Amino acid sequence: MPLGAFKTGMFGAAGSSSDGGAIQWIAGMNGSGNSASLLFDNIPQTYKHLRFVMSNIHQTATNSNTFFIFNGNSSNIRMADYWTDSSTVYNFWRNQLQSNKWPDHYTPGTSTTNVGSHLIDVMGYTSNGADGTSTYSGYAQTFMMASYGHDNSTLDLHTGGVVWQPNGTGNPAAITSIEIYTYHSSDHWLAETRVDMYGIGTAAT
Amino acid sequence: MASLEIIAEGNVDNDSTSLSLTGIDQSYEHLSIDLNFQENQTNYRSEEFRVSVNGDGLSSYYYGGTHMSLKNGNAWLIQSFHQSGYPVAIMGFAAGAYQNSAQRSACRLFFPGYSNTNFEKSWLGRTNSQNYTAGDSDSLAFSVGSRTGTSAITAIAIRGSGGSNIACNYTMYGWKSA
Repeated sequence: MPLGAFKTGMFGAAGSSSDGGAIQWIAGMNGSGNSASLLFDNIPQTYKHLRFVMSNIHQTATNSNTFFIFNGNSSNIRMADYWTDSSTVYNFWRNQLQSNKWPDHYTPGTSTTNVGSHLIDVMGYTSNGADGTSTYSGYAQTFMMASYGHDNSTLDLHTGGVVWQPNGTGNPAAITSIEIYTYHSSDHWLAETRVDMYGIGTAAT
Repeated sequence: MASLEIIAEGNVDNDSTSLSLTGIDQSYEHLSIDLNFQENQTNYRSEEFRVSVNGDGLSSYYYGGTHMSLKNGNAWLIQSFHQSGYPVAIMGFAAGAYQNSAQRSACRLFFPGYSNTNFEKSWLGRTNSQNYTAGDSDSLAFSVGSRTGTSAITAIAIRGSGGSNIACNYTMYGWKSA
């Protein structure tokens, strides 16, 4: 999957770009219609936090799921998802290293009356935890909210997040790539699915 | 050039029943609004926090809304609806003016892809309405709203539960994608 369109001149900079304040757009892409992957690779290590904004989320399969892959690893990820449909709050807490799926529920399919939005904050993603120390690093926590609606009849709300233990060892590791993946390789992101990645603040060195 | 820019900011000072943002700049990819919000409703300490878009009146558009809220330490409260002719999405609860007329809630709304014209929209919200004076009306809400129709969101109205005036400060941000 090719890299999305990146902001010109962001790579190799020591610290955030000086031209735009505390939040910088880094890269963005749309689904291709023939790939299961939305890949952000070579993520600059110059920010404290990352924010992903997804809009018009649609996959070719209905009632499929979304997975997160860090640095090419699809394991050693814990997740928590509190979500509600119309009457019940569901609690999916994967306290074993068994799921990189989030939300733990279906993703909108091809219907034009499906709606989907997703906010993902990845806090402290660099090798030093973005605070200049080596302690408490490499476990970038996320806070996520998502809404998925189906045929103007249901509107699900998810809140929770995932955490990745680098390499399953607890050793610090910078998050250099984040891949937003469909449940099956044969399920694809439709072209109208949009995701943007923003960098927030300046990582300590 | 900044990736996040302030599109509008200001105050409503108990002289209107809603915050009305119109003619919203369409040059951004995403939109967010932060507010300190209160409905001047003296009968309740917290009230519904409602959003409608594009000046919809009694339209044929379907509005959807779901929020999960914690109130007063009780179990999660769920409200969810889809309906036409009632163009409002309930996005949780915000402060009323009962007992504590000075208190305002912390509210955040996010409208991913608001300027797109190819798909139906949904938006996300969070509100926090802890009451410092009395511990019987605290609320924390996560919420989502939606509306049928693929038109871009060019206007947003934010109000409380009904006809009472509101007080708020607000900042509306545009998120660029280039």
